Amino acid sequence: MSDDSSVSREMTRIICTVPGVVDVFPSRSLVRSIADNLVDGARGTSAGAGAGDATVVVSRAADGVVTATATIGVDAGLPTPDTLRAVGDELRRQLATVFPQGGDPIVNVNVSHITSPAGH
Amino acid sequence: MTEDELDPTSPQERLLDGLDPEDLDGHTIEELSDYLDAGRQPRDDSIENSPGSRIALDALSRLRQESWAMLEVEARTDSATERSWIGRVIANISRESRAGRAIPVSHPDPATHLNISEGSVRGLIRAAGDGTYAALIGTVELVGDVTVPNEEITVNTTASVAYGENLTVVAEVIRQKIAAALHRHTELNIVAINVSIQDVHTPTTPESKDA
Repeated sequence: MSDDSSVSREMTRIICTVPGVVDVFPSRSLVRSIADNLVDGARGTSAGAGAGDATVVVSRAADGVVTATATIGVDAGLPTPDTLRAVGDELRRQLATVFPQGGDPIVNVNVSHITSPAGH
Repeated sequence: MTEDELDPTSPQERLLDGLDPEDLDGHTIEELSDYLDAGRQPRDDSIENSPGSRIALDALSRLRQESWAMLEVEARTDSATERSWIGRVIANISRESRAGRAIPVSHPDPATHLNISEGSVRGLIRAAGDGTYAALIGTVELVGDVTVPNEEITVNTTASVAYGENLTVVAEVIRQKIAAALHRHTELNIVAINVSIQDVHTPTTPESKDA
């Protein structure tokens, strides 16, 4: 859905600004994400903001409940649980704004890489 | 490169050949090593967007920065046992970079689910230990059900330590660094951290060995 795609892109952009977040990885399989990027590039549908910028998966169930799933890399300079909670809270806030009729959203945030400080 | 390094039947090569590309989203340690050699240019999204590959790149970078040259010398000149140790470290980096289990982090809202991948925590542990008095972490294992909050978890690691260091002191410092990293970055209930020194490497050159 194009709407969810633009929401996904916006969610990705926003969580990139959360302190401690250094990467937002594709939450779908890597092969699928790369294939989608290639297709978008070939079709010229990325409009200057490629599908690679829309890595947070946003979906809506039949009952209207919205689910957002993000996979992130974090900086070890901040406690990882603090960064995770900040991202979770930010996604909830944004979803409540974008989907005011969507009920209580479900938010999944996964840390898959912790960047160690320089030298360790 | 020496003939031994090019020999496809050498222990190191056999270990590399045996790695499962699925662990690194289809990449091999050799490909990641070449990518590092090229300064990570041109950017390869299939590597940079793969958390497993990124964890492996981190570990390979540390190996190179701190001890790679020394270990290469040992690989060329020392016993099969030492070559085998290097091969095992590389193999472990690949295996441990898999995402693994999801380690939960608490949130007051039950509809917000937060997790840290086991692979990223293993990478964190390896980063905490690598370089401590020139030590190299060999294996990292989290024993216990990390997916259940408050379950008792034991960390088992092995390490290689530079010749001449006090093994007891090095093991204790590594243990403290790992404990601090896990306390800061996870909510795991760590009941024990075992550091087994399984090898001692010698920071010597071939010339000095022959002397």
